[in-house]
Amino acid sequence: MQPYLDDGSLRVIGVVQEQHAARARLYAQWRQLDWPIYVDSLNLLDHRVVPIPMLLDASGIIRARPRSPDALAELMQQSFPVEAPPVGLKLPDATELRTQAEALDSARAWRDLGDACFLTGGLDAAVAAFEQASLRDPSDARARFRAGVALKRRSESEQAQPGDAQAAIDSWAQALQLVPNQYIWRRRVQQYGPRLNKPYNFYFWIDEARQAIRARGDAPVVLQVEPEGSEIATPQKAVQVVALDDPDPEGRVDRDASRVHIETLVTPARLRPGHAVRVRLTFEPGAAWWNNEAEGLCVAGTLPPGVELLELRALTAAPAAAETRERRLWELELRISPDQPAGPLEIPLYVLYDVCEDQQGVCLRLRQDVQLQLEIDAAAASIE
Amino acid sequence: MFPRLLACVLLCLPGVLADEGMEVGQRHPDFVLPDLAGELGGLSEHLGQKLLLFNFASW
Repeated sequence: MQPYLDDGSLRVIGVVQEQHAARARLYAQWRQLDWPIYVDSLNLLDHRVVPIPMLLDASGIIRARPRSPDALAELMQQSFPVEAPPVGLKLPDATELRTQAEALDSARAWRDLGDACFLTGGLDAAVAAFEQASLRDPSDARARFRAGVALKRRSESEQAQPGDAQAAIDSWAQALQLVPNQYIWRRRVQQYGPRLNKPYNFYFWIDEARQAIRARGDAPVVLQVEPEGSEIATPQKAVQVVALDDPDPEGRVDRDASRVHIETLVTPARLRPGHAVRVRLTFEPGAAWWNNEAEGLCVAGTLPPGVELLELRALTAAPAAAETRERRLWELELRISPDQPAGPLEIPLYVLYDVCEDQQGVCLRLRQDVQLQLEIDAAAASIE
Repeated sequence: MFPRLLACVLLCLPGVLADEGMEVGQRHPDFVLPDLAGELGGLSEHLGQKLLLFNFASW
């Protein structure tokens, strides 16, 4: 195909379905993709699956979906009637779209506003607009998916609000329930979901990419959000139940209310009986310091009947220094019994950890209770 | 060039090749999206000769 590219009779562009643009940049750098690539995080093109190669004629008419170099070569020999190409689309002005949304008050108008706000970096405005769209039309699956994209991006930004990451997962799961054969959306939930539901490790290529790029003498693109935990976990097909410790069954260890902030991310929070759930626990020590010379962090509890623990592991290793204050991550995977009745299911866990008030200050072993809230529903979206 | 592109897009998502939506014979909708550098651009900038448009993912 190189002759067609060299003589200007063929151009190549890409559209990548990816939540994190930097990951697409790293992929393109690794594969040495030197053509223009656009990042469709919101799935504005409405593709349900990838990959999809398309050959467009000079005026933008889709002429074929070539699946091989030979098929493309054959198409390059054909001539197609030339129609007037479309006038270049411009991103609508967000102020005008807001006026329109307030006047029409339709889901579509609010969703259009959300799209424009997201593309211009207005995450708060985008989240708000997508929420308005969902309120106007609860069956607007695109609005729910795009709300999830905006919430997830905000959760990883300086504008993050508590609960953003969970709200993103919930929005994606709602969108998937409305359109269960949308595989682009399904992947987004699976990315953070249980290993039992993973078709494969989505970001297995990142280490290989970095090694190959460095071997070429280049510096790999830096990822602002490093894939971790479930994102790089390998699928697990065989169920192995592991035990959960319960070293403080009577709750005698002093509770911590303020030293360590714990955020939970449950994927999915609404699930069918017999399905699995992945839980990420993020620990931010705030003003306190981890005491690395003590017993260490421990996730514990007594699981209710019908709930099995399949995996429990720390994603961050304790550092060598005696006192540190890094963010720590743990993940656990639970499976719910097929016989679990529909309705809310609370799973009480607790965490024991050792923190110091200050460097060289008073050190304590403390407990914080963590209540996981699930909703068991036979009609919930399946992410298998 | 093409084999490398195909390797990228056809191997990155094994087992999923079907598509729904835009059909052969239809005009591909124009779009405005950020490129890898974050600059907004769109399909119409690239028309004027035959265009191979790859929709793909890294995962």
